[in-house]
Amino acid sequence: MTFALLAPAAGVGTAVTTFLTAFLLSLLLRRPWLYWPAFVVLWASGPIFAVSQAATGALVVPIAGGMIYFALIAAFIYRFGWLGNLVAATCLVWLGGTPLTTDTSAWYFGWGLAGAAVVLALGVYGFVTAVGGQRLFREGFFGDE
Amino acid sequence: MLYELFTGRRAFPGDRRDTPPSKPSSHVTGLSPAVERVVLRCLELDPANRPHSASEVLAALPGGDPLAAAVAAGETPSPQMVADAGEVGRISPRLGLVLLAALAGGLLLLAWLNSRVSLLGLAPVRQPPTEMARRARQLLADFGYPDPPADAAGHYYVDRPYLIRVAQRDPSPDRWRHLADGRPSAVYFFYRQSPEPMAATSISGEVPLIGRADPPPTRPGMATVLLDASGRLLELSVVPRNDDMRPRPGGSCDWGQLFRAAGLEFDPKTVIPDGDWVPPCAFDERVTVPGQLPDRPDVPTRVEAAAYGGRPVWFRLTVDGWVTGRAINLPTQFVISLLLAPLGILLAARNVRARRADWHGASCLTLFVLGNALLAWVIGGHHAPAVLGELEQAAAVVARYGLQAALLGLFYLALEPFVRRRWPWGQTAWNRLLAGRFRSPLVGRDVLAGLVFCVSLVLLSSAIKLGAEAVGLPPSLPTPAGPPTPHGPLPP
Repeated sequence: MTFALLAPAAGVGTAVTTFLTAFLLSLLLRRPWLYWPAFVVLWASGPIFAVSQAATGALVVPIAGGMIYFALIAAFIYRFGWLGNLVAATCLVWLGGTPLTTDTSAWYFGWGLAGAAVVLALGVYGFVTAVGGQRLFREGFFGDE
Repeated sequence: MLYELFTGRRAFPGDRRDTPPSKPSSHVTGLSPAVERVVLRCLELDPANRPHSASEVLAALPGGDPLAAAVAAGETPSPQMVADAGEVGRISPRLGLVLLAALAGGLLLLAWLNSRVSLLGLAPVRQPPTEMARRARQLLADFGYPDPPADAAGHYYVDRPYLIRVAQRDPSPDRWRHLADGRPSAVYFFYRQSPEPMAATSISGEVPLIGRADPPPTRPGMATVLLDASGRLLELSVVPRNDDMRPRPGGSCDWGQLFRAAGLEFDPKTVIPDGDWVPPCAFDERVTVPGQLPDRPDVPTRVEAAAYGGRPVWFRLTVDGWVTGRAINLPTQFVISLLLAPLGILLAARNVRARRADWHGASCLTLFVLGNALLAWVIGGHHAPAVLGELEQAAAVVARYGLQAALLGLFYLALEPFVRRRWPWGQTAWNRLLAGRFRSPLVGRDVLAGLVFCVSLVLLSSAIKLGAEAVGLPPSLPTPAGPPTPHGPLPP
């Protein structure tokens, strides 16, 4: 539980690390076509050293999977910047500590549901704010002109 | 005024202002759509949707982008200028609904996939912590320690080093199948009780938690029990009390009860009196028992057990050379931050002197991290009715997260101005949030996008794992996803 409760603080740390890596690479390499691929390669090579699956000869999955994973993160940072990155990182830590399950008889089902509800509540806030007061349905959609 | 300036008419001819004004382009031809958007935004019925400052109006007018001008001139734009620049960020209700539905659907899909890729799915944890604590307490009573404790704590934990070891050694596609057996496994239940309130003060964990050595097991009567997810005994450690010196009726320790608690077969003929090891507590008898798991005869085991006054004080089951509960927690990121701190101080001082530093943003981030840690400790930490112990724990949280938050603030002061100068557009939503504009559509859009992106990433990660399994490659480490570990005082 403490792991999930600390998600915002841990998320800030993760987001700062990824964002600053991209920024420092941009300072070093200058060209976007150079520093974004460098960002992907740098992070995708992480699992090889961290989990050291080299002994099992199963490097294809962490490398290929890592490339796709971090290419998406690079594209997301490029498009949405710091706040989106911070929210995504915090959510990743939060879900990592949330026991989501469809097994309603499991004793931790309620914990998982509560964790998902927090994410959804934040999503509803994002939706309502992002729409900025626009009508969801055309006037008269429900025959109430 | 802008409306009148461009159209020659008043935006609201009468006194009523409850309907939006007609479009300026319906009165004049050739009006730039960008100008029309700005004029209409200034006349939004909801004040929250109007521009927040003159510089925001200027930024939105054609050719009036002060941020672009500042960046082009090589200047560092102020946080206010960054917040006012850029797009409104509003999305269409249809896109918003699609994203919200994707978020809800993604979470549901994730819950379903978790049974196949998460640790909870592969190593089922069927009993809640309260039941496991009851089991541990019952075992202690059976071993001759029936007195109710003054304080107790228990939680599940994940033995990640064991998972990594399996990933390194076993290349088979079904290398995680034994996680469900529970021995060896990756999920354990840890229980400690004491005749006095316990207070953890170590700052190596996320928050001070009762651990094997925190507080140190020095008080007579303290006991530690480690169970596998099925409730079988893996380890026992008791600090004997003075009363325990009196020999128990029946003489020597009944080693068989320990084996029964561990779900192992006990054959007195295999018992080796004595051993080449020393338990971490006083003892007057010790035995070593080699054997194998009942359901996996190919897996060798070794049991070390010790007793004092006829009561067991130590038990440890070692399976196939693997010792339970070893965990290495190296705060690498924290250490690197400390090493880089002098550079951060130099850069921060430079930015402060040049009046580029964003004190407001740095203090918000620092207080947020520290406040979050204190809240997590208050809700999820172990609390006992001991004022001094609580103060010590609070001090440990402030020490650990205060330093971490201060370092974060330092690096924010040091590096944020450079990011603001080079990538200001990526900072707009963040600076609007810091300015308290929680209803800015751009903030909402980025929050919603971040959440949808996060769920998509987790789903992608699960899909990669399942895809690897489908083609016969060894599956990667299971996703943690719990189990939840309440750390508060356990009910009697």
